[in-house]
Amino acid sequence: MTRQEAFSALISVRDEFEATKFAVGHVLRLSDRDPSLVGQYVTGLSRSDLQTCQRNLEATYFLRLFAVFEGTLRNYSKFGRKRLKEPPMERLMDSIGRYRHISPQHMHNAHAVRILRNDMIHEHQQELRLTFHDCKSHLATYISWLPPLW
Amino acid sequence: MTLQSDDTQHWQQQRDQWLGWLDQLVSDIAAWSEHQGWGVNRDQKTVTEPLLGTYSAPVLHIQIPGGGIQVNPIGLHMIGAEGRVDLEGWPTLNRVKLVRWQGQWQIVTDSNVPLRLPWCEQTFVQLAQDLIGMP
Repeated sequence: MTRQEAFSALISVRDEFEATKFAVGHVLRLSDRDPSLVGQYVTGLSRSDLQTCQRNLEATYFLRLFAVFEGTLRNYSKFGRKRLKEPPMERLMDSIGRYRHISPQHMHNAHAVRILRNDMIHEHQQELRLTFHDCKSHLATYISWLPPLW
Repeated sequence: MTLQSDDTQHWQQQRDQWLGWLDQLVSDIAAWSEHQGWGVNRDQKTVTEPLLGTYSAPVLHIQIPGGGIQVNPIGLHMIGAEGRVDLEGWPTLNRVKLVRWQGQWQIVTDSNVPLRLPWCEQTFVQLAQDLIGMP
C-alpha cells in the first residue's frame, strides 16, 4: 500500500460526504416547496426521515473516515512492520507513533479523534465535538508520518 | 454544416476557452508562489467531461514550508458554476474550491460557504498558509 492510496481513500470519503450533503439538502429544499415530493418516489419514506439523515450525515461519514484511518494503520502494521497481532487502536496508534517519531501535537490530535469515535460507538454520543473536516485533517496529518510505500 | 458538427465546434470552443482560463489561473498562482520563494512543480492531468470529451489540463504542486498545495482542475461543467479548480492542502487535506461564476473566480469552502474575498496574490498566499494549518 502507498501513503498516497491512504490519502486518496480519505479524499473519497470527504467527496462522498460533500455530494451526499448537497443531495439530501437539495431534496429537502424541493420538498419544502412540494411536500408530496418524497412520497411520490419512495413509499413509506417521510420528510422527517430525510431530516434525520441530514442531521446524522456528518457523524455517519465521520465513522467511515475513521474506518479508513484504522484500515490504513492495520495494513501498515501487518505489511509495513510485519506485526501479526491486532492491538486496540489506542495501542496501535501509540506504537506507530513511537516507531515513526510522530510529533506529540499530531499524536494528541489523532487521539482526540479516536476518543470521539469511541464515544460515538460506545457512549452513543450524537454530537461531533470536532467537525468532520477537523477530524479528516488530524487523521491525514497522522498518516503523513507513515512512509510513502510499505 | 450539420447540427452535430455545429455542436462539436461549440463544445470545442468552450473547451478552448476553459483551458485558456486555466492557463491564466495556473500561471498567476505559479508566479505568486515563486514570489514567496515556494517551489512549484507543473504537471498535467487527464480530465473527461461528457460534453467536452477527454482533454489535458494543467496541475500545480506547490511546496510550502510545513506542507504543500495542489492546484487541481476538476472540470468546466459543474452544478452552480462555470468551472471548478480545487486548492488542496497537504497533509491536512483541507480544501477550498475556486469556482468561476460570472467571469470571476470565487472561493468556496468545503462547507459551501463563499469567502467573498477578491481573488488576488494576497488572498492566495494567506489561503495557502491556512490550508496547511500554518499559524
